[in-house]
Order: sequence, then structure tokens, then C-alpha cells
Amino acid sequence: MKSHKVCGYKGKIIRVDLTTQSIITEPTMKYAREWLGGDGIGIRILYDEVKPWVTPYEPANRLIIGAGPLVGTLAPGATRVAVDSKNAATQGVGSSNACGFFGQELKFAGYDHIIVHGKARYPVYLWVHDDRVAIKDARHLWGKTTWETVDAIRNELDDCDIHTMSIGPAGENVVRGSCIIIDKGRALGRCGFGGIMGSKNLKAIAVRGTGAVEVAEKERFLNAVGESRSKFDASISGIAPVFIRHGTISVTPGKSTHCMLPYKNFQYLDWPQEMKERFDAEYIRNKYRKRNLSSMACPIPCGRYYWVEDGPYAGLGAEGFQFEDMADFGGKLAVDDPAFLMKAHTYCNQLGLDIDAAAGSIAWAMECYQRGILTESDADGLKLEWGDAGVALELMRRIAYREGFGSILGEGSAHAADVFGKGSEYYAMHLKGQDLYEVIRTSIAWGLGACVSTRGGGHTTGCPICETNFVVDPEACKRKFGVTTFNDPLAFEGKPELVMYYEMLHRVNNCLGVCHFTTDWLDIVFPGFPELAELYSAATGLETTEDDLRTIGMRILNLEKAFNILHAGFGRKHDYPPERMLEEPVPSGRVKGWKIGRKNWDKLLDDYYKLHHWDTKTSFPTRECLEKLGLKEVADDLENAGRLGKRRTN
Amino acid sequence: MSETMEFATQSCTGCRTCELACSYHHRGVFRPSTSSIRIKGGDQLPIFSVVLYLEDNNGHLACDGCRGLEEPLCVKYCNVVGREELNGFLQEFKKKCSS
Repeated sequence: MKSHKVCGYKGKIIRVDLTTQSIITEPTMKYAREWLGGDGIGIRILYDEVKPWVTPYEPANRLIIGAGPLVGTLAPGATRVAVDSKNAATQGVGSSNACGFFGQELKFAGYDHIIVHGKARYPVYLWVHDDRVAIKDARHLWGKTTWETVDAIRNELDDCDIHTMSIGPAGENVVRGSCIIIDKGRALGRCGFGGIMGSKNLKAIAVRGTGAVEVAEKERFLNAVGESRSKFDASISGIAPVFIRHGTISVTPGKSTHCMLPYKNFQYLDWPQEMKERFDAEYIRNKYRKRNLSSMACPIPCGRYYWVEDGPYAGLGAEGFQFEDMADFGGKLAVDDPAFLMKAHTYCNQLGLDIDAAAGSIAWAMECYQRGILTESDADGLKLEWGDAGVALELMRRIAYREGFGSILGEGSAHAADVFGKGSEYYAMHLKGQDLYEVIRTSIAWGLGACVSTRGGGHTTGCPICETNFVVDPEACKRKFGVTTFNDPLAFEGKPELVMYYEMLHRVNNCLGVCHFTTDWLDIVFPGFPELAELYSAATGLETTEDDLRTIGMRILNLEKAFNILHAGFGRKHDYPPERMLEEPVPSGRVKGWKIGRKNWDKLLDDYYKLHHWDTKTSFPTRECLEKLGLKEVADDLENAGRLGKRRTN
Repeated sequence: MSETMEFATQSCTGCRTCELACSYHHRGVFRPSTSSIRIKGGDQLPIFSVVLYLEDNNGHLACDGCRGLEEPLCVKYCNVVGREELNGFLQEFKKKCSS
């Protein structure tokens, strides 16, 4: 029997004005039907409340935290929290997502979202404890790392079960590449959200909840949970056991085969053999892993606790690094020591520094040094040699504390290149102003998804994994995507369709609070739209179909696109990769000599925009497209700004 | 009889899904603060312990071994890495209760 009370959701949004210190609550449900939850509701509030003239670091910017309607239930992988704000790196839309226990704790405390605006007169932290929400003095916490901060808060509030979002020195110093860290190791990465908290004098948000999350149709919900969980069984998925064993490090073999391993600032797309051996997943597992780690309701515990026993970082123990750390700190900076990966990863977590931003700007600097564009004198006496772990760590410190050359690097490679000029701009690997992590050249849908991503790069808002990783069920892929090139990374045909599928799925995941890895992103047999629709319908009592979810995904994407057009002036030219990625042939490896070429990218974008019913000349959404999604007022906004897309016949 | 049984674990991944499942067994809602099972530890060192409440304690409800169910819900919803070890703990609990 369906319940009429609010289920899945908690029905309440906390709104905090740090300037006036007012705290009120508002209802969630006015947004739920159209925007689903989590990231979707966050983007809607952001669009409505942050006007184009508001810059990321001023008090009027909003920081919106959201835990989706499935978070706090047994829905597989429903363990994530979303944060949305104006993007400090791109000046457009910003969104971030992380695993951990913060989202669940917020739901158990009784809330779906927190909206923060204004600026406190001195450093504060927000304390959410069930129905008590308070702004507390954080002057004694200012200057502490994120690790020190969470320990101090748990100590002073005498509760080891508190979970926090906090910033470290990088966020306090409003470093553009700073991020927010959940507890000690889960990052709300990219978009510079650490600095946004820092600009508000908000050191942390601490949450503790003893309440309940309810579901509307209990039997139906548990059946849906069982149905979804069965798909992770080793008898169904060959990928699940590998992922549990190695986490994201398991993707390295596939990336190696397809020349997807960035080396020395993307000059090369393959690692030296010695580096590949040192970064071998089994080697790392045997040397460092103590146990697996995971979060609530996750059926594939892919986190690992690592302990470094010897060498210069001996005694370091924490949640271990991801493949992204290998690519950033190992590949891009040419340091082939896995213990250094652990050190850099944990150091960035403590400082509250985004790893893509840190590695991106350091790699740019090292290549410019290699080419004689930057000198020791430019770098405050540092020799920016490839592979120098000590210099890399020192630069991270100087970035976080805004010291000299570090202060320029902290703005990101795009801005740093503007400062130094002298042709250094060519070597700034960025998308829409934000340092790039993804390899674009050798996996076309992955590259397309990153380049068109509204948050400025990133692979979690529309990039498919299936082109280059793992064995996939070809027939299932054909049925799901409607194209046959899903595992042909260099093909252009069919790639806009692949990207569009994941643009929708990723956004729905980010609304519901579900981890991408527990959906058909990782393995085509994992839960997808049908299972998510069933889980959501049973949990909330709001009957929702697969098509409803896809529509919501497209609605959110179009709103993000409109935000970018109005706030940052983004258009077609901002969907191109750096010149290196278009015109430099792959120097070595299996696809040596391959290059994309501008003409091919031109056509790829044309096909992508046509698929989305966007203007192929400008990339702007058309009125027809927006009104079909219920966004008439957004079409009016774009028209008033002279930036509404036109339907083109060619 | 002591209020809790505590087990040091080798396999537990600290996900606390058992707490969700257990609380659902008792009251039909997801409310870890009422769960009969609690996972302690995590951040500093890779040491988790499983605590089973034998009596009602500070909001946590006494474990009844999911009497009447095919298997305890905490074990059923545990992930593949921790399940066998957790099942062993529940068997010990059941032995203790019947002694």
C-alpha cells in the first residue's frame, strides 16, 4: 500500500545565511518531481538564486549540499553526496560528488539538503545534530589540515561518529584548485569548492543523525534491492571480483593497451615499462593493502586501506590511492614510486587540494621548464625536473599556502600560462579553464564526454568506460546504446549516442545518491535505468519510469548548459580539446601515429549537438528543446541574453 | 551477562550496511542508531570491530539473531568480502545465547 508521507526523502532543506547567522528550513518536495534530488535539486537552486554577475568567491554565491532520496537505504551503492556551486575554475556551473558517510548522516539527522550563503565575520563551522543546527566558532580550527579538523571536532563534541566536510589550508587560502574533503579521504573534487567555503569563512560542516530514513513500499523496495544486488554476484559479473580486489587500479591494463596512460603532461600516452611494473595492481596489493574499505549499502567494496612500511614515507596509513592518483602524480609528473602516490594523495587530502588541479599545474610547469620557457628563477629557485618527488611535494605545499610561484600555480595551468606567456599557453592542458585529467586522443567518446562536460572536464558526467576497459557483453551493449562502436575507441561514429546515455545516467545517479560504479557504467550487466526507476518508485511512492529518469537527466544537463552560457559565455569553441590533443600524433604505443584532427572533431561536435537538439553553430539549446523539458523560462532567459539556439537545417 | 559482545575483524570493510539492515529488521525503517550491531573504528588504523548488543543500550536494541528468518539480515546484506567472518560472529552469538 502506498504511503502519503514523505519517504526516501526527509522533506527538509536547511538554509544558512552566514552573514546574518540565520538558519531556517524549507521543503524539499517542491523540487522533487522535476529535479529528483541531490545534484538535480542543487543545480535548480543554483540557477534560480545565483545570478550571472555573482562571482564564485563572493557571499551571494551558494554552496548546496544534497543527499539523494535513496541515500540512507539499502539501495545498492546509495552512498554518495552531491555539492553544487558556481565553479571557481571555469566561472560556470560547478558540481562535485563523493562517497563516504556524510550523506547518510545528513539524512539520519533529518535533512536532504543544506544551502549556505553569505560570509561569516570569522571562521565558523556548521553543526547539524538532528533537529539542532548551530553555527559554531572555528577560529581554533583555522589553519588545521582536514585530518586535524575532523579529529578536533569529534573530540570537542565528544562523539567519534560525527562525519564532516572540511577544508584545509588550500581552501582557507582560497586556492582555485582547492577542494572539500569528507572525513579524511573522500574528496569533493574539481570546481574549486574548497575556496568557496574558505571565502565564506566556513571551515567545516559536521553532522550527526540518530533518526530514520523510511521507504514507502517495503516489500517492493526489498525485492528491488535484491534484484539489483544479484547483478553484482561473481556468477553474473566478471568485473565485480576484479574491482573488489583492486578498485580503480584495475583499469590500468585496459588503459595501457589503448594508449590512455598520460605521461609528462600528456606528451606521451604510455608509461615506461618500469613504471608499469611498479604500478602493477597485484604488486601494490601485496605491498600496501591491509584491508578493503567501503561505505553504506555498497556491494562492491573497492576502497583499500594502505600502509607504507618502509622508505621516506614509512608509517603513512590511510585509505589508498585511486588510478587517478597514478595518472596524475605518477604519469603526469613521471614519478614511478607507488609510495609517493600514497604520500601525494594523502598530502592533498590533508591540505584540501584537488589532485587534478595540483598535478595539472605542476605538470605544466615541469614541461615549461623542460622546454626552457620557465627557469629556476621563475620557480623561486626550484629545479622543476620530471620525476622529482620532493619538488612535487614542495610545490603542493606552496600551492596550498600561496607562496610565491605556488600562488600562481594554484590558479591552475590556464591562468598560470596567462601570467607567464612566452608560448606556455600551448602546454596548459585544460578544459574551460580547469586542469584536465582525462586522456582525450585515444578514446573518442571518453574524450568527447570530457570536452563537452559542463563542469569543465571530468569523466563522471557523460564519459563511457566501455570503449577501453573490461570485457563487455556486446549484445547487451548494442541493445542499451543502439550503436555498435561501444568498444572501438578510435571510431567517431556512434560516440555522441554513448556520451548522451551516460550524461543522463550519471546525472540520475548524482540525484539519487548512487555510485556510478554500482551502475551499468562499470559493467553493462549492473543496474541501470529500469532498476533505478524501480528502487526510486518503491522508496518514495512516487511512480517513476525509466523514461522519466532519462528526461530528468536531460533537463538537468540543459539547465547546466544554460547556466554556463549565461554565467561564463561558453559556446562551441569551449568544447574543443587543447591543440596537443587534436593535432599531435600519438608518439608511441599500439596506436602510434594516430591523431584526431580538427575536422573530425568539428563533425563530432556537429553530430553531438544535433543529437541534443542544440544549435550546431553555437552549441546553444533551442527553444524547442528547452520547452519540451519544461524549461520555457530558461529559453526566455537565453533569448533575453541574445543566446538562444537556432534550429539549423544543415 | 555483559551488555555486548565485541569481535575484532580481519575482513570487515567498515561499510555499516549491517547497521542499516538490522535496524530495518527491528522497526521497518533504516535507523542505525537503533541497530543491534555497530561497527567501531576506521579512520586512523585499519582496525574495525563488530559490536553486538545483548541488551537494549542507549537506543540500540538487543540482538535477537533475526529469529525466524533464514539468515540474519546483517549477514545477508554484508558484502562478499566480510560476509563469512560476520556469519561466524553471529554463530558465536547464537551459541552464547543458547548456553
